[in-house]
Amino acid sequence: MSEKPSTAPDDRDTPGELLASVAALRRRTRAARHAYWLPLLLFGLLLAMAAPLYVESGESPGMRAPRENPALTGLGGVFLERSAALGWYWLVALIGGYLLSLLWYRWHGVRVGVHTPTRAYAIAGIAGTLVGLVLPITLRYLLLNTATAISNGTGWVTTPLLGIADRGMVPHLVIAIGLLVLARLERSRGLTVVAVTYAAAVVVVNVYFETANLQPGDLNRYSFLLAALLPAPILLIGGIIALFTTSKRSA
Amino acid sequence: MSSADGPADAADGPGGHPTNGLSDTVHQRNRLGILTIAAEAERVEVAYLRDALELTAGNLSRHLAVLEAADLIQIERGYHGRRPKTWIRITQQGQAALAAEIEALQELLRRHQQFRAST
Repeated sequence: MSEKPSTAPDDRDTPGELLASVAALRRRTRAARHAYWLPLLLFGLLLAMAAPLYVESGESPGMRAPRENPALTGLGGVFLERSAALGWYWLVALIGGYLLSLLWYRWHGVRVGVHTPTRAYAIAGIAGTLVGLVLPITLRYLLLNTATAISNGTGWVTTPLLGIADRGMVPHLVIAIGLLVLARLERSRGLTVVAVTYAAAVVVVNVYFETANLQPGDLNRYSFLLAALLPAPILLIGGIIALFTTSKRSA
Repeated sequence: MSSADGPADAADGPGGHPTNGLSDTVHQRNRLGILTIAAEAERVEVAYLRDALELTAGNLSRHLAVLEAADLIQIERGYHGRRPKTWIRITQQGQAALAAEIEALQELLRRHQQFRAST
């Protein structure tokens, strides 16, 4: 052959050298197709843009009766004052965010010549959004409209999940699931760390609400905002680091 | 190699010597590189393979034809806008052949290290 590739394996190499060449090619190809900085920044910004809808007026949220909103606003939770607006926002933001991510990966794949398989990511995101719409209804039914044995037996999972849904944080879970699936498809340790940290932050925030035994007066107009915004910097910082790393590599 | 010769050592077990797990089609260095890259992605453009493996178009084309004939990859031709593009996609057989090759290489390396340690 006229070529002596720098990274390609050479069949005159020892098994160890061949395996090292294969590992180098894998790393190079992975690095070329990694493009997860955009979904991280995109969903981080979508979380930040939702902030005004998590701010309450002066009325204590704990004293407010749950309201009935259109079924399509189920992602907004019932505890929040602007739950209907939040529900519509997240319905559009999640579906739009996942479709935009798909287009981004498609464009990036054509540009660099290596395509990441993203079908499972899109399916997880869109299916998660749809499940998020019906989740509060299902959970409330299980908790309140089934035989005592069923509601008691499933209470350990339905109660905290309903708390998450009522605080308008199901979209956070949908984003976490999508990112975990994407981390697997990207075969990226960096994205796995960001996705797991983000998911852990969402869980910790909600565990705090479940276990703190909050009384009506303990919540103020910014309580839900803080809960909803706390995990956002993880995505934004992760996205900025990933973007910086990608730019440095391609420079 | 899979076409390799000679009886396997009795100590090599039912699978024989690890070189029996090496396939002539896959073991060739450029084809091993092509399969390694293809296994990392849903599909890879031929231009990327050419750059990554530093091959000429004709050379790469010959290796792709061998892999396609062995059902280890699929070749897709199309356009992006007006520009013609060729993509390759690894098949399930290709994934399995690559995994077998890597496993055989790892086993060879392990034996080599054992041999060196014992001498």
